[in-house]
Amino acid sequence: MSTVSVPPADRKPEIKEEGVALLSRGVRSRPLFDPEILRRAIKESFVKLNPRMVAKNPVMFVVEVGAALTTVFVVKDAIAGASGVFFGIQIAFWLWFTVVFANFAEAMAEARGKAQADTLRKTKTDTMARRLLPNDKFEMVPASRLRKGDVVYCEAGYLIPGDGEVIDGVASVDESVITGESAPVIRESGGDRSAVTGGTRVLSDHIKIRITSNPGETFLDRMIALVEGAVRQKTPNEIALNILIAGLTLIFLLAVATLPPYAKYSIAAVGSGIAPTVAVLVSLLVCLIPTTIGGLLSAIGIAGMDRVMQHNVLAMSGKAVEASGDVNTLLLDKTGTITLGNRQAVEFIPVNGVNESELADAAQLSSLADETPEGRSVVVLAKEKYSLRGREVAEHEAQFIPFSAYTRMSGVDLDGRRLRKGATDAIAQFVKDEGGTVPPLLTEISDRISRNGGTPLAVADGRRILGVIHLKDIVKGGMRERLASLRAMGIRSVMITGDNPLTAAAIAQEAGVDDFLAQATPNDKLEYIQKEQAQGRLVAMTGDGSNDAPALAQADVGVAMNTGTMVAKEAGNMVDLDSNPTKLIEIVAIGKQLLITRGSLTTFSIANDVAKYFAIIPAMFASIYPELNKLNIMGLHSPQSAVLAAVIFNAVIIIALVPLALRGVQYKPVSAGQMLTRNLLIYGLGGIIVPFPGIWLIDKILVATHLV
Amino acid sequence: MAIIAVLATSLVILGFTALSSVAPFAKNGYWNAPGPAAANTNNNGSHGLSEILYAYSSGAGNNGSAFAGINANTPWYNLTIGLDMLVGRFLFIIPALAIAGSLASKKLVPITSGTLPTNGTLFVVLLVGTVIIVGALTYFPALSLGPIVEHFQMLNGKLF
Repeated sequence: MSTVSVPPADRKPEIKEEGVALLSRGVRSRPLFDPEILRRAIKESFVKLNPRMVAKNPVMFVVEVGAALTTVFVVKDAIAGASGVFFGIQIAFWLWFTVVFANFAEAMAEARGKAQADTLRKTKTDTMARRLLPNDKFEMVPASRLRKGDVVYCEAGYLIPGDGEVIDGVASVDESVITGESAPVIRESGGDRSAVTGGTRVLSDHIKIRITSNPGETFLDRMIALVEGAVRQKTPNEIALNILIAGLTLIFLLAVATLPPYAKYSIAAVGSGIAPTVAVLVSLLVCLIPTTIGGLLSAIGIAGMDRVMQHNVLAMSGKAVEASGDVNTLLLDKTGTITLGNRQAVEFIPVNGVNESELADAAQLSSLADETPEGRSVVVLAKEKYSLRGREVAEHEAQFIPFSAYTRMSGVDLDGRRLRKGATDAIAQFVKDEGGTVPPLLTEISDRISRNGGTPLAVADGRRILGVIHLKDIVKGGMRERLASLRAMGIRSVMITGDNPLTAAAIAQEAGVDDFLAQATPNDKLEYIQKEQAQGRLVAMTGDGSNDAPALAQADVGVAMNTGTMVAKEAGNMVDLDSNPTKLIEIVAIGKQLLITRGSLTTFSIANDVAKYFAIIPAMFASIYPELNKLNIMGLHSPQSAVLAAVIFNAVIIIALVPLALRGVQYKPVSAGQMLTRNLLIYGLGGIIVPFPGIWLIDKILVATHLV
Repeated sequence: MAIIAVLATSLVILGFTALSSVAPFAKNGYWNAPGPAAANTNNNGSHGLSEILYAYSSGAGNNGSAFAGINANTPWYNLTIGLDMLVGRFLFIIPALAIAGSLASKKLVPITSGTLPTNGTLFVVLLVGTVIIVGALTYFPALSLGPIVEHFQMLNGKLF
């Protein structure tokens, strides 16, 4: 560690190129069957056969016990030299593989999650940080040695070493490593945009950052842990479903366990017949219990969290995602959320004695080198309204003055003219410094624009004030459609703003929100949420400022923008890396999808049992009552082939449904009744019908290959 | 709660039928004079199993009648059908009341497009379908050795 007072400007830190390139390419979703993931998952499926791991899943535990029991009896039979050993071995084999397939489903989901996590981990670079010492000097330490409360100094060209809050300075930051968005964002001390994430790069100016999380505890780390399935708690919904399928398992266990006495009675009554063997009884049990949903349940949950992350949202718990599925109301901020926040020029307003085209000309010249959307819109407006084309300024002696957060203005020194545009008070001060006077009309025009929700940009030429550019807050594109989608899902949108009611009404009408609250203080937001919740509604809120924190914490689902403060991010239960306020639409869709997928697969699993009964019952009792062969509607070859075919179908259907479990059942924003009807028809009716041809086919294959 | 209710009823019906179809008793003993519990039936074979199954099903869910002449007035049958009634009925009613109570204390959720309508064809189909499927899946094995096989035997001309 060397102690330096000024960092050398030409030293570039190391970057893990691979990781940065991967994320900038936007590789967030992997193909369904990536070979490397497959290999990992297959290995894990056998490792997970350990009874202690299987015991967490009651249905699969019953299957494993059954498989072990069958194996024991088959071995006993083999030693005693009884017949039908080959059949017994096959049954035992397929029973074990039922458990393996279920493990595979879970392992696949976890492996995909781990792959995402690994990609995320690559963004954690081992940069050197400039830690500020009490004597105002800096020391170089590796980023992994930084602790909460350390202050680091970061300047243009260098990577930010860890999550933190800007305490001094303003800078523009490239966050594409985290968000995939290449346009730089402004980060400044105080205000709502003070949070920075480790791994992003400072592009201009310099800032002092106070580190707010220890290594291993950043948001990224927490999300990685969640996605890897290590810190996964069962959500209330999952627990309820688990109880249901455990209960059904008990019922079917009962139905099967009482069969031997009935069989014994029937054999005694008829005088002939063979009692069903352990292998056949276990087969019936395993076929009846909902193994399909039992095996796929955890995979559905893990894959759901994975999908949330693919949408660039860091969710702190699975419960938050499921809660979003039931949200009734969404609260949205106005500035920067519903509106662009980057304003667009719509009007040139000159002061007395100034020609409008002169104002437009000066405005355009001073904005030619301006990279900000505001500057570009000024150039475009001048071109459209006054046909002033972007000139070739090379022949003139032009020196562009770039925008700086300190001066709050930008412009150009051209042919002796000093053209400037910027905040009204900054320009007024500039003009006074040049020796000119500020007309009172300037303040009047600026105030008028502000009251209407716009931003005034004053323009000056040396000591003369030329006029004001009216920047208007534009509603984000597609907002109407997205809010309409929300409405179709049954979610009411409410806009909350500190603006005056007139401006708010105009923007609300334009954006298409269902309701709005104007001149709202942070306390008003909190009270509104509490009022909605008292009426039994679930409230979601998106916010970015520290003043949104209490409301974010009170809301049932709090989505903090990544551009927001650390306090907001801690208060909410999700962080949107894209800072898109209507991202909630995707989150709600995933939340609902989780529930729909679980329900559909449970229905399918239970509906399958109908066909399996028709396969196994005649096979089991045909020796006692040959009349029962009339139940063999699939025309299965023999009792052995029937039972084996049913068991094989039961195991194979788990693997066949893994892609569906990982991708989730398709969700369309229609009413609950319509969706339920559609899914009942597909998975309920389909579940009853599909096993019939399936078991018939397997039976034919078994007979053809002489396996039975 | 729902699981307890369904489980309780199935447990007693299927469990006691299983017990009675194999329980051995001494002839002219105290518990069951005719001998083994299965000997109380009027008919043999599948019809006999139906008689035993019916005795317990009716005790738990219907009017407690007997069917086809089973002699249910022995200490064994009296005791078991009595327990059958106790568990099958009360361990069904009490959980159902508990569910109602728990729902009553929950706060009302406003009706939105995401609410499932309880007054349409969809709900009726869903309800009836669930009842039939869960009921059928639980009792099908027992039924297949009783009434179902008897039906097929009847078609073949064998009567009881």
